[in-house]
Amino acid sequence: MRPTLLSSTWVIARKDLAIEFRTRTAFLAVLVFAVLGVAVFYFAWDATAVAALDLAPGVLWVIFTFSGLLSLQRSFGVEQAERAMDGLLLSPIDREAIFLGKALANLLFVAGIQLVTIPAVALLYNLSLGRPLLILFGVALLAAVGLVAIGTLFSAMASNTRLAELLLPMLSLPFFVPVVYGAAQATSTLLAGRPSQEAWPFLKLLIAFDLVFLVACTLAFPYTLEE
Amino acid sequence: MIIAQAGAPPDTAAYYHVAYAWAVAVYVGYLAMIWSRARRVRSRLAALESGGARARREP
Amino acid sequence: MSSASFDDAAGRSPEAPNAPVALSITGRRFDWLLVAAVACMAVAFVRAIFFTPIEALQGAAQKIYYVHVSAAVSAYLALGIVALMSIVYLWLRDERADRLAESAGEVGLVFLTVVLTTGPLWGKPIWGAWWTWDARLTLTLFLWFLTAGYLVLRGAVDDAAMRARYSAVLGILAALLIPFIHLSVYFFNTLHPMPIVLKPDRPSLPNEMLVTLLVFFGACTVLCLALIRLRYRYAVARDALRGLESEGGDR
Repeated sequence: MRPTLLSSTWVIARKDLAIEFRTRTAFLAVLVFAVLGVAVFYFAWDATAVAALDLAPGVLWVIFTFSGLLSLQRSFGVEQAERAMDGLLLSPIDREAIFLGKALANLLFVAGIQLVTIPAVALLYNLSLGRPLLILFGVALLAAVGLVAIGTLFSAMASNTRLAELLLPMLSLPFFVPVVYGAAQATSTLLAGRPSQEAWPFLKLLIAFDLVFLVACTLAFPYTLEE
Repeated sequence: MIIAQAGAPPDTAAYYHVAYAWAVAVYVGYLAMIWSRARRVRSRLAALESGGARARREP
Repeated sequence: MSSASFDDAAGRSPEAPNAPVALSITGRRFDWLLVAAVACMAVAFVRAIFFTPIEALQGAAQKIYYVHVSAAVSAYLALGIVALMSIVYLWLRDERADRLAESAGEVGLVFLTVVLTTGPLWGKPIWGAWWTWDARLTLTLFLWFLTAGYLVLRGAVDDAAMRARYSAVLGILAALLIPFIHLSVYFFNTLHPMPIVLKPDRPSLPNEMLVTLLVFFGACTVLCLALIRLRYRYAVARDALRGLESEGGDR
């Protein structure tokens, strides 16, 4: 019996996450990078000239982007190492489910990083720990969906090329710009206590991006596989 | 910002010269690049042709 | 390899398949389009330099506008071809579409480079700043990165079919990205308006200048098409060479 898209997706995601958490090295490495990065940024700016509250969203989203890229680098490396992809392709699982499963695993990975990084930003930049944190988590999840959709597809492509480490950031970063821009503007508007009406266009930008690219990347993924 | 003298247009000729020269250089340079690449391919194809009296399979 | 109705990829005609390879680059056929393009560009430049008045408020630098805008239009034309051929390739799997996309991508990058370099040279004397994050320049910058990424991707994949598929996917996704970049820039500019004192973006041009601009548009478009065709023919010959070399290696 052919597995449904949803169940296949979950099977693939669970497999990827299981592999990841057996060793945990990648997760810890990205986590350390993210938190260190947040701290380094603080020293790069003059805290008397720029208020920490204005700085925090920018720092968060830049770190989010680069730690996201780091997370994605490992995503297809796992398959490459053992040619495990061939086995996956022979199974009755839909190609789209392979993509969605990997994207889901990446999403949970990135969300895990954010779960630690956002409170770190709040602490180091003296944000209050109530409503602001919830806003940041919410927008981060929206942004992560877009990031992961693009990044999963491009890491699948890049891992089959000679310049994998260069290509993934080079191809992905232009696509991340609307995500980072929307997320940064939405969070800075909301954190500054402005009415949520003002943040709505940016959230719409994020949601539209997520929808368009989740669909487009899922449909494009089968074309990146051997025929 | 170039301040205009009374009546005369501002003297921004330097930018204009550089920009035009640069644009021409880019276009001509690219043309030359394709040309030289094509010449190299052409000579290698010709070498293959003359060096091969044996029958060649049609693709 | 699908053959065109005329000479096949290596220049052999169907009537004489064993005839010596006739290369379609510069060797045999007279490239009238390229000659016409060069002539049109020469006319455009001469007209702009000698037969167009200097604008009163901006001085000679205003003339950069003709080169800058016409290069932008040509760039968009080339990149439009890339996006279209990407769709055609994934749909029909015709390698000619892929070759055309590759050629148009490279030519597009050349025109984008002209736009991005003449832009600041125009902006500095006119607006007082080398760079402004206005809609056209920002979009052009992104297009430059995307096109460069497209060409780097092509260079990094050795298998021809995989290269064509990957490039087509990137081409289509990049086309989907453009409206989002546009929207982001629009939001950015309405929220953070640039303090531009003089904004001659769409000046109402007197007739002489308008004609010069249109002549430049026409000439650049013809140059764009001629360069794409030239580059395409080079790609055909290069692929034929690769094919012959790999055949020879098999023996």
